[in-house]
Amino acid sequence: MAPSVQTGISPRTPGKAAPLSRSGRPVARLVAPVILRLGVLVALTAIIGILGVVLCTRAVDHLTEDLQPAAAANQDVLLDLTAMAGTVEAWSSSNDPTTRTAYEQLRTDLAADQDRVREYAAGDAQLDILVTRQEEAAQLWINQYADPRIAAPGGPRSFDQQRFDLGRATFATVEDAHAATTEAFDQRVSQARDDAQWRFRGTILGVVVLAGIAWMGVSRARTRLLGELSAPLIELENVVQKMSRNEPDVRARQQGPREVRAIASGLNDFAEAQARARAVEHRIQRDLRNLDTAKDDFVSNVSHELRTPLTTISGYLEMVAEEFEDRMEPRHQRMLEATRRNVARLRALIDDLLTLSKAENRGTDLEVVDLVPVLREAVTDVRITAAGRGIGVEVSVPDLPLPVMADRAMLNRAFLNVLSNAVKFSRDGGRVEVSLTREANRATVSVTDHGIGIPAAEVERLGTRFFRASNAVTNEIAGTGLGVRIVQTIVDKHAGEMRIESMERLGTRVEIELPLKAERAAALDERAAPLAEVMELPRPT
Amino acid sequence: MARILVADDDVDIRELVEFKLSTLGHDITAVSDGQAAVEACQAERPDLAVLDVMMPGVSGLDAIRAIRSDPGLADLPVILLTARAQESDVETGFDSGADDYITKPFSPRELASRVEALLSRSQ
Repeated sequence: MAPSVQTGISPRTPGKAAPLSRSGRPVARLVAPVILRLGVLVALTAIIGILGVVLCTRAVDHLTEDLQPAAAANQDVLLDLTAMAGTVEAWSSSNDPTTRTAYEQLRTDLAADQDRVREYAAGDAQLDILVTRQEEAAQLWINQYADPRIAAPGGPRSFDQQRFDLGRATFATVEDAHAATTEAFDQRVSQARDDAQWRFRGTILGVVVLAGIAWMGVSRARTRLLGELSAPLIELENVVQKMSRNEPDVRARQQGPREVRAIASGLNDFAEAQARARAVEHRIQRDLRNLDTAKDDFVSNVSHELRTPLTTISGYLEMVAEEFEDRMEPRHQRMLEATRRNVARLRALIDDLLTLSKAENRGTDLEVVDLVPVLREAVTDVRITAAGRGIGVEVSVPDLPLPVMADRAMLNRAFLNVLSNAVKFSRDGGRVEVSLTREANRATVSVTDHGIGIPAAEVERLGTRFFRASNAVTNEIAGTGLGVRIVQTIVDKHAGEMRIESMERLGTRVEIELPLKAERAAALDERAAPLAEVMELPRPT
Repeated sequence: MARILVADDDVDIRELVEFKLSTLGHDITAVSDGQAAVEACQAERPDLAVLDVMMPGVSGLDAIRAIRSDPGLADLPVILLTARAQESDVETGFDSGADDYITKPFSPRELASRVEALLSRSQ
């Protein structure tokens, strides 16, 4: 079989080659002549079979209904004549009148038998001659001996040697003639038997030969149909399978019947369209990636470029403050403080932008990380700030490790953001509760504060870049509007989920749910189970 | 009183560092690129060097390598100024032989305390 794959783009130009490619014969015109030829062969076989049977039947009929009765009648002729001779001899010796009556009866029988023989012999010149000769001999014997002897007086004394010898001589002639006729009949019977046999054999031979020809025709037609119809279809099937496996350069060949060519052509058009779509998709993806990289580079470069002047500004600011520490009036102090605050704000903004850019684009480099110490570290980092404002941070974490697949630094950043928000939006002297719990194969970090909360209508918009809750702005709480967004991005990268519940003036609860690393979680269950039993043992009575 | 080499391509940062450290009574040599920093170190044998990482031509990291390859400067205390806070960059800095690093934007006061700490350690 020819290879079914054309590599490279199909050389066919649409429109020009299309009519040529559809020039195959339709399936109907391919199959019809085969069926027609087969039909003719079957009909011919049937005709030959029927003809053979008819001819055989006729040959057998001729043998059994005409020839064999005629041959039998011929034997009867001799029997009649022999019986007549017997009655003549009886008359001669006994002079019994009943023998005369028997003789007359036998003559009638003889005439009837002779008529039957003659009737058959009428169509056969040679047999006719023999039968005529036999009849003439019989007639001579009757005329010259039998009749005169029956007419003459009977009895033993009437014996005449000369007459007796004449009778014997003429009867011998009759017997000779009859022997010749019998031989001719035997010959014809054997001939007719052979004839019937040959017709039978001929019929069988004819039917067998035609059946053989039909079989050859069928196998040739099968080969041809396989080649012209089935092979292209099988090839088409292979092509479809390859296409479904997304092999890009596979095209169907234009071959076989017209319908198959039409399908192949349609399939190729489809594949071309698919290839074009895929190319466009690839280009768009590449462009998007390039854009993304460009954005990253831009954000990163801008951040770096901003940091250098910021260093100078904050540095000199610090030195100016140190230098004029004792000589400043309160309004100068306020001016300096405002400048310092805004430098800090710029600095936080640049840091957050860079962090967000990194979180959004960093190829996640996940490793097995225990959540417990990561959370503890983040809590430690916010404790000093919290303590400065009299805010207590209560932590409740399990004793067992809770392993997750994570980027440790990013996760730490997310926890830090949530915790510093909780502290930031708490009132002085407030309380922040941090807990880490495990349920099935998920761990949940929950951070609750009892601070200013978020207006209900604004909860939905948290996580939008640069969005800040209205009460945070009115309370002059510093922030970049990127913190929650950073957390959301990091949690997404870890296949986790973030939930924020808040009541204005009452506080906020942020929950971060992360999937535990599966096999480690299973091992954890094995360790946790006996522990639970032990804990249940000392039950108070 | 120590002799300190400061290398930064940004004139304002350079002057800020120079200004702050000179108020502490140190003798400052300021240069604007890595190549000049290496040459100044070899010529003047300072007690400490403050190098910016991102400098055109010879970067701060390259400059440290060049300085360390000179046997007489193998023990010179070096502080790197970096605008990048990524851990990998910090590690690269330590690998190349820096004694300390400080991330921009930095507080002059913090820089001064690091400088004093390194100087007292190296004496």
